[in-house]
Amino acid sequence: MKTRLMRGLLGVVPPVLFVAAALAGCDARPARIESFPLSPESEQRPPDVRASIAKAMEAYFGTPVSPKVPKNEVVTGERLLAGGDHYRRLCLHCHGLAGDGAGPTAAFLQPRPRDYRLGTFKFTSTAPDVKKPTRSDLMKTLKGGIMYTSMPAFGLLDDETLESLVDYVVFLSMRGQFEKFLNVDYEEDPELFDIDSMAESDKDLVVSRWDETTESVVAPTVKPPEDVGASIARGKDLYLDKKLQCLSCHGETGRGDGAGTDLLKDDWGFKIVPADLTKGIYRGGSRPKDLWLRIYSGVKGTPMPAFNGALTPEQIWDVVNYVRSLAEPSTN
Amino acid sequence: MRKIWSLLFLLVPIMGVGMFAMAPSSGWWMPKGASTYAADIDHLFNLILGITGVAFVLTQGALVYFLWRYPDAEGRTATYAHGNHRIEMIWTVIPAAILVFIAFYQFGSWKDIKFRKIFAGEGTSPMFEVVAGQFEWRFTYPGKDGKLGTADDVHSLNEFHAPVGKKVVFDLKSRDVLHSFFIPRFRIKQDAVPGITIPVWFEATEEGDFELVCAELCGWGHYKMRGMAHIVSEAAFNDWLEKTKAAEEVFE
Amino acid sequence: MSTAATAVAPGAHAHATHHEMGFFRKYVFATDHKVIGIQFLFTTLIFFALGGLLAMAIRWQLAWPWTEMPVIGKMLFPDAARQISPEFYTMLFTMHATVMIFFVIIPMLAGAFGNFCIPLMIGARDMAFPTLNMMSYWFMWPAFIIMLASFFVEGGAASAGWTSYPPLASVPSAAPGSQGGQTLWLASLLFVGVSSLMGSINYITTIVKLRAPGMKMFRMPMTVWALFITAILQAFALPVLTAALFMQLLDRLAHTGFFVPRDWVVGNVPVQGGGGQPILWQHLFWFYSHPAVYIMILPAMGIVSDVVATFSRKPLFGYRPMVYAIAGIAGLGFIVWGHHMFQSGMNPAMGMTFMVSTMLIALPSAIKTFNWLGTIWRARIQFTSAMLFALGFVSMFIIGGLSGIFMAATPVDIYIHDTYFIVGHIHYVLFGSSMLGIFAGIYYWFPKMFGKRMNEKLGKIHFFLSFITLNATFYAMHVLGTGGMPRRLADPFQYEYLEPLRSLNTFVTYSAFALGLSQVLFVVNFLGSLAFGKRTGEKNPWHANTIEWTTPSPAPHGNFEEIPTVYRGPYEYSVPGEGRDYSPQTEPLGTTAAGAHR
Repeated sequence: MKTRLMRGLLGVVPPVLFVAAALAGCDARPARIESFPLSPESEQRPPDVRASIAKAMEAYFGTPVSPKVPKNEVVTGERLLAGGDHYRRLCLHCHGLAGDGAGPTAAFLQPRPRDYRLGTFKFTSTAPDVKKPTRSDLMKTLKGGIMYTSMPAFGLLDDETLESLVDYVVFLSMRGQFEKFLNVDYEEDPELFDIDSMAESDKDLVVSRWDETTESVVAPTVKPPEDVGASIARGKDLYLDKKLQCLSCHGETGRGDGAGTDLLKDDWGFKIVPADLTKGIYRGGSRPKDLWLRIYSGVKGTPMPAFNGALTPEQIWDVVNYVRSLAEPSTN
Repeated sequence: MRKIWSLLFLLVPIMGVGMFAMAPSSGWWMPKGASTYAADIDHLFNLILGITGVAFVLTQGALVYFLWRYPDAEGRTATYAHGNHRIEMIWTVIPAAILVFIAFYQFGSWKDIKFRKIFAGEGTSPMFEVVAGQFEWRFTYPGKDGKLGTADDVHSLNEFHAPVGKKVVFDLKSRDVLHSFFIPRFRIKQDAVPGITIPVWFEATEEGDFELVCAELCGWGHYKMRGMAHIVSEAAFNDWLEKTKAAEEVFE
Repeated sequence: MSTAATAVAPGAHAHATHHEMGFFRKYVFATDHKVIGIQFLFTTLIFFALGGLLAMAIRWQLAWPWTEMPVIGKMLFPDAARQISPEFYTMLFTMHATVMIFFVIIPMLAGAFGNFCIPLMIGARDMAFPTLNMMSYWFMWPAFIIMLASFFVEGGAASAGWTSYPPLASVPSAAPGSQGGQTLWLASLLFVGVSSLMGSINYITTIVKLRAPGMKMFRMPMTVWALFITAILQAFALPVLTAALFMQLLDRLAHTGFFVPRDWVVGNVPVQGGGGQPILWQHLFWFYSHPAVYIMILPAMGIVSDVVATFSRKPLFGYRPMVYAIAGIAGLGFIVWGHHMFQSGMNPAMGMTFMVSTMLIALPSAIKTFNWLGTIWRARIQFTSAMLFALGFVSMFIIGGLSGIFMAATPVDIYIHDTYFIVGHIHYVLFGSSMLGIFAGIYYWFPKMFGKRMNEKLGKIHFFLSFITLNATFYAMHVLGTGGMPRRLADPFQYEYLEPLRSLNTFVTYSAFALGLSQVLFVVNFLGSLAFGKRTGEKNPWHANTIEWTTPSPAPHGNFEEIPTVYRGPYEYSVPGEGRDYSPQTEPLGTTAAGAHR
C-alpha cells in the first residue's frame, strides 16, 4: 500500500506542482470592485435609508468599475475609467478608494492625505469664498507635489494620465460631497427625508459649486513693488499689526509659535499648526504669486483666513516680501 | 540511469553561459552607457565576466564530467587518495594571483570616480546641490551670484538639467533618511547620508533624458522616487536656468 | 547525569542508571543534545514555510504590481481594492529576510545540526553544558514570539529592511514598521544573539574537552570542524551585533544620539535625541553580519564534505587544506565587512582595502570547491538524495562565489550595488548553497535521528525539481541586476528603462512559485517518513565511517554503550586491502584483512 501510495504521489505531484505554478499568475489582475464603500455617516443610518443613499450614489456616480459623473463644466466622464485605474495604482493607498484620505498608508502620514469628500481644497487660485480649486490648481498639485509632505510630485507622468487623474479626483470629491449633503438633509429632519427630491437638488448644488470655480479665479492685480527693501519693512509692520493678527498664530518671529496654537484643528478634524515661516517651506507653492494667493484667499479648510478685505493687493505684496525674508537657509 | 544526473548538472553551465549570451540581444543588458566612466565600468564588468566565465565553465565542466565518468558501478574501485600537495599549491597560487590582479587593476577607476581629491580639486564649486528626501529629489543651482543658499538660487524638483560633454560636480545631501542617487546609464551611484554632504561627479557623453532611481530603501515610497536627468547643450542649459528662475518668480 | 569531568576516560559508565524522566523533561525541556537538535529542526522548518510564503507574496507583487493579491488582499486590504500597500511590501521583504536568516538558516545549521551532530561525531555522551544547551533552545522562543507579535502591533512588523539602517529604522515617523514593530524586532534579535552565544560556548567547550580518546583534532569530521570554527565566529561577532541592537534601542527609547544627526526632522516629526552618524550603524551591523553569512555557510560546507566523501566512497581530497580553508574564510571574514558599504559615503580609500580583502576571501572558497571536485574524481559516486543535494551545493556555490567577485570589484559595485544582481548572489549562497546543504544533512542524518529512512525516490524528485526551479528563479536575477533593476522596489515598472526586463521578471515569479511548491514534496517526505516510515534499526545505512554511525538508530540517550576509541581519520574509504569500501573510525588498524593504513 505504501509503495503504491508513494508511486502515485511521485507520478502525480510534480506535474500538478507545475500546473499549479503556471495557473497562479493567470488570475493576476486588479480587483473588480463592484461598489464604493459608504461613508461612516451613511453607515449609521437605518437600513432603508442606507440602502436608498447607496442607490442614489450609484445612480449619479456609478461604481468603481463603471464610474460616471453628472453633467458639469469641470469634468467629463470620458477619462474616468482610465483615471480610476491610474488612481488605484498611484493614489489609492493614501487617499482611499472613495477619496476619504484613509487608505492603508494614511494613518502613518503627517500631515494626513486629503479627504476629498469635504469638497474643500487648501491650495487654490479661486476666490476666498470658493472652497474648490480649478483644474489647473489640481494639476499644479499633482505635478509639483506638496512640499515636504507625503504628497509626491507626479510631474514626470504624461499629460493624458495627469488630466485623467484630475478628472478622477474631482469625481471623487463630487461624489463624496453629494453623500455628505444627503446625510445633512437626513439629519436636519429624518422624518421629512425624501431622497428622490433631495438627491437631485443636492447633486445640483455640488455641480454648481464646481462650475463656479471656472469663473472665480483670482490673481494679483498689481505687480510686486520695485523697492523690495522698503516693501519688506512695510510688510513687517503689517505682520505685527494687532488688527491683522498674523503674529497671534505665526508668532513674533514667524516660527509658528503663537499663543494657543496647539489646539487648532482643520476642517477635517485633524490637529493643524501654523506654518513656521522661517523654514521657507510653502506647501501651496513657493512662487510669489502662490504666497500672494494664500494671503488673499486664505488657506481653505484651515484657520488661515482670507485677507482680501483687510489688505490691498499692494499691501499683500509687502507681506509676501516680508514672509519671504523670514526664510532662513536650511541646516539639513 | 545514473548518468542522467550528470546531464542535469550539465544544464547549469549551459544555462549559465546561455543566459548571459542571449541577454544583450534580448534587451536584458546594461542600458547603453552615456557617461565617460560608464565605459570603464562596463569594461571591468566584462573583464570579470570573462574571467569568472572561464572559471565557471571549467569547474562546472569538471563536475559534470566526474559525475558522468565515475558513478558507482559493479567492479569499480575508488582511488584511495587523500590529496596532492602540488596541486593544492597550484590551485591556490593561480587563483590568488588572478584575484589580486583583478583587485589592483581597478584601483585607478575607483579613485577617479570617488576620490574627491582627484575629481574636485581645490576651488571646485558644485554646479548644483541635490537634497534627497522622502520621496523626491530637490535640486538647487546657485544663481548668478555663484553661491548656494541665496535668493537667486534656481530650484528644480525631481528633474535636473546639465550640460553635455562637461564635468558636472554636485553635492549630494539627504534631509531625512538614507537615499541613493543612481543614474543607470551614467553608472553613477552614491548614497545620500543624513548629516553629510558628499560630492559626486559625472560627465555625460550624449544629450538626452536619463532616468534617476533611488537605490537605498527609504520608506514606503522608495519605489516612486523617480527623477530625470536632462542633458542638453551648454546654451540650452543656460537658457533653461533663466527660464526656470523666471517661472519661480511668477507674480501674476 | 553528564560526566563532563571524566568523559575522556575510555569506557566511561553507561547511562543505564539515570532516573526516569517525565514527558516534559524528556521532550520539552530536554537537555539531551539530540532532542534539542530535533527541536531546533522542527521549529526552523516551520519558519522556513513562513519565510517562503512571504517570498511568494513578494514575487507576486513584483510580477503583477497593484493587482488583487490572493488571500492577503481580501484579508488585509478589503477596502483598498484588495491590493497591497507600498509599506506592506517593505515589510514583506524585511521579514522574509529576517525570518530566513535568523529563524531558519542560522538555527538550523548551528542549532539543529550543531546540537545533533557534535557529540555523536566526536564520541561524547552529550554537550559539555546540557542545561545551557536546553536554555539556548528555549531562548529562541521569546525571539519567535516577539517577532511574530510584531506583525500585529500598530504600524506592523519592521519594514526598514533586515539591515535596519537608521534613520529609516530608528525613527518612528520614518516608516510605519519603525514604530513598535522595529522595537520588537530589535528585542527579538537580542534573544537570538543570546541563544547563539550560549550555543557557541557549548560547542567550543565540548569539542575542545570532550572528544573521545584517539579523536585528535585532525581526525574530526569536517562537519565538526566547520561547526567549531563557526562557533568561534559567532562568539566574536555576536557581541558587536548585540551592542548595535542596544544602541538602536537606546536611540529609539532613551532618545540617545548614536545614529541620527542632531535636530533632525523626519516625516514632519522632530526626532528626539540625535547627534550621531547613520554610517556608524552600518559599520557595527556589517561587522557582525558579514561573519554571519559565513556562519550561514560554513556548517553547510562541513556537511557537504562529509556527505560527498561518504557517497564517493573515497577520502575527502585535501582534508587539512579544507580545514585551513574554513579557518581562512572565518578569519578573513572579519576584515571584509566594508564591501557592503562601498557606496555608503564612507571614506572611499577604504573601498580599496576592502576590495583586496574581499577578493582574497574568494580564494579559500575556491580551494574548497576544487577539493570537492578532487573528492569525486575517480570516485564511486552513489547518487543518493543526500549526495545529490551535496553535489548541488557544490554547483550552486560555484555560481554564488563567482558572482561575489563582481560585487567585490568596487567600481563595478557602483553599478550593481542594491540591484537584483546582489539578490541573485544572496540566494545562490543561501538557498542554492546553505539550504541545499541543509537538505543534504537532513536526508543523511534522518535515519540516525529517527531510526527510519526518508523516501529516496521522493527525495530525488525533490532535488530534481528544486534544482531546476531554484536556478530558474535566481540565475535570471543576475541578468535583471545587470539590466539595472534595483532591489526593494514595490513596483519596478515605474521606470521606463526597466520595461525590457518585464518578461524575465515575470518568469522569475513563476519559477519562484514552482520552487515554493517543490518544497511541499520535502514536507510530505519528512512528515510521511516520520509517521509511516518503517523502523529499520539500521545503525549505518550509508556505510559511513564517522562515529555516529556506530550507535543504534535512533541514537539512545547517552549515545554510546561505552565511549569509543578512535583509531583513524574520518575519511578512510576504499582503503586498499581492507576487504570493504569503508573503515569506520572506531575500528583499530589491521583488524580487517591485510594492510595497515592510517
